[in-house]
Amino acid sequence: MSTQKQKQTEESSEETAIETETSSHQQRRLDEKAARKADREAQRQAAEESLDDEETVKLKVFRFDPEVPEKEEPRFDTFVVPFHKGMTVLDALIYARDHYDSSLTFRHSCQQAICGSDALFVNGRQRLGCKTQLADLDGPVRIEPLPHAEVVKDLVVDMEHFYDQMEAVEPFFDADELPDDELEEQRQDRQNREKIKMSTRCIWCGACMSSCNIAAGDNEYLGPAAINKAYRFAMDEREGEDRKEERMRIVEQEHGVWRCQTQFSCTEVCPKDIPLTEHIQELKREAVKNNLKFW
Amino acid sequence: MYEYDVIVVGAGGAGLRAAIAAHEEGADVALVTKLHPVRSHTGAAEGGINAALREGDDWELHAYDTMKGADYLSDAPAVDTFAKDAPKEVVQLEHWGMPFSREDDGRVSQRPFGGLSFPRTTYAGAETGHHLLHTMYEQVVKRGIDVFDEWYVMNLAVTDEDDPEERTCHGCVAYDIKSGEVEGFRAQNGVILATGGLGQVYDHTTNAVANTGDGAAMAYRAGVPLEDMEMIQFHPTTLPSTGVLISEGVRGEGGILYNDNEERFMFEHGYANNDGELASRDVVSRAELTEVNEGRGIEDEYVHLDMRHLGEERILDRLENILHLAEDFEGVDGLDEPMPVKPGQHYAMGGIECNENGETCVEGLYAAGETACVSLHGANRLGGNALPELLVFAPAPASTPPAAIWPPRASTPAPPPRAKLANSTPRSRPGCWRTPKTTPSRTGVLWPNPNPSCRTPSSANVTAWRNC
Repeated sequence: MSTQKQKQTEESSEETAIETETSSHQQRRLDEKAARKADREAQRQAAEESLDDEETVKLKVFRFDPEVPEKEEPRFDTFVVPFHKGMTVLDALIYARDHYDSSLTFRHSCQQAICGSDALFVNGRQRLGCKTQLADLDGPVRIEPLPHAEVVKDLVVDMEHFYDQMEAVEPFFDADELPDDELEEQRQDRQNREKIKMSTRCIWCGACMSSCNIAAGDNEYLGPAAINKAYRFAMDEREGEDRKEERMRIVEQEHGVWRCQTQFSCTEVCPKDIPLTEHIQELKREAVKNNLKFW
Repeated sequence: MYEYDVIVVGAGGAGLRAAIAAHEEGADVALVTKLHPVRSHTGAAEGGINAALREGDDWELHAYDTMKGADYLSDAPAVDTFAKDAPKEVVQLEHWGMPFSREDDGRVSQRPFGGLSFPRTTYAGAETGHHLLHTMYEQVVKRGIDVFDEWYVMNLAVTDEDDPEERTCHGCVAYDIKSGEVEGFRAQNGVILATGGLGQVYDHTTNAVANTGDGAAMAYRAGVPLEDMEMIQFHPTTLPSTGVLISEGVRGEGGILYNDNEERFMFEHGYANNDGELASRDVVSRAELTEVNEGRGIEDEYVHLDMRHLGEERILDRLENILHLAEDFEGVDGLDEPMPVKPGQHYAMGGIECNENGETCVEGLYAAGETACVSLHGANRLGGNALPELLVFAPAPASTPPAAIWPPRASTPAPPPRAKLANSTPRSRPGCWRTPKTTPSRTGVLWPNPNPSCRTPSSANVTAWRNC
């Protein structure tokens, strides 16, 4: 590229004398640029030679494919991936797939922690691959699918059960009354909006459900994400008391809020920092208040 | 073979809104999406939804801003419909329970945005798109609309008349990504394409991996022209390694852009002597690119966005999420060092040519959202205009009486035989960093719009718009 530019410059300076001054400026800039580039290149090479081992990162990735005879038995594959500053677990997986094994399968989409596709079990903890810096992890980095879910292939788990639980709590806004005018909004107090704010941040990644020991042992347990969804509506003042009562009936059943043993594992792994355990406790308190009516 | 009245391809904001509208009209609807609906990229929208809701504001002002921002290249009737209907649709969202940010009196908050003559951007924190997407998916769950998630639509089932305008779309073919099973989806009353953006065509983009422009490609294969495809918006501040967006808010608060020589180039090199870093998106993007091309970029790739001088307190108060983004996605501490940024592809103003009712020239085939080109955004979309676009135009196909809209037209010649795209493997993508060397070879493979008359004639007020 740069040689071509130089050639062009030489040609044009031969052609017209007027352009000579411009060309020499350009030439000087190009020379400076080339010198800087050579300098950086030398530095980079020196750095590469001295840090050869530290500039790569080793991944141990869970592999399983029930449809391929050689991969029926779960195993771990090791990939050595060149490291750069800012590299995330997802970047490393993409590199491994594109350069070593195109059959390596994992869900991912937005790469900015909002789609919730790439919750993985990394070094023994549920994390979003796109939001986890490799620099913060001890190597070799062990990447597994979410525990307590059926593995479909490699790092992909079946999310159907999670979606079923999310949809079991009637997860939709359903106000007792709405304004008649189609241009008139419902009023909501700022404090009330603040109260439900954290609960509305859920991205359905399933990390909490996977981390929960209770959910692992009780398939009917609604799980932290679904209860949080119920909380989001039960606490929304726009819905009205009648609807709230119905919502409480759903979460206070046997496999609802009472199953939670406040281990805080869900709160710890939530990539959106939602205080899930607190929300579950608050619903328990509401349930007690409504049922006992001491006051 | 599955049979429905209406098939919606894609389940982001536009797809969900279209499905809800069709369901409300009594149609039997299915959403077919290669992701799960809540994974769609609508969720990444941050800014807000423009709508003239308050006293002192007027839909005509909104229409004027939209038209002006578009460099007067929008279609006036589309802009009219858009600005008139946006308030109703925003309030509809509120009635569906969307957690908007609120004023002291409990009404929905609005804030100023680039290019707007009135603070009319309604928002829900810095996650407006996320809340819109989830609120709408909740309504889909409530209505019990069938969702085929992780089903990849490969092609449309379109009749094979020579003239695209005589063709009819009867459905689509898709496969279940999990099992590989291929199935036909028959649509009695139409297929609505709502497949979103095409950012993955570019090397560096704020779009998700899923935004591969599938809908536009399918429509093109079916003979529908694509319109305004050259109108691509580049956002000036994205992180170099991932394309994650660093909000305009950083520059709004006083963040400064520096080149490799630590010059404040927006002023020192005269790109925008008045507005500096706060010039419009295209101006700042172009300035950054010029700096890099002339050898003043850092590592020949990016420039620095520095907000350290704002002080820790102010940064934590107003720009906390930016610190998290820089830390999580670039490994940079914005309090200690400047953040690397470069321009990235952000939005496609163009797309599948359609009218205000979402109708394409193929009967029974509709388009909505970013993949469609109603010709609302012209040469440049205003911030906060993408979400109301899908709210206003996505329900249109469902409420349109068939056949009435597209009057018979003089027949136009069939598209020329397709040239082979020079670089068709998904991994070799044109960068947004164009050089004289790469540009001509890329444009050489494009061919003219096969059907330039395929759009409703706009009314006489186009001239009036140009004069205002």
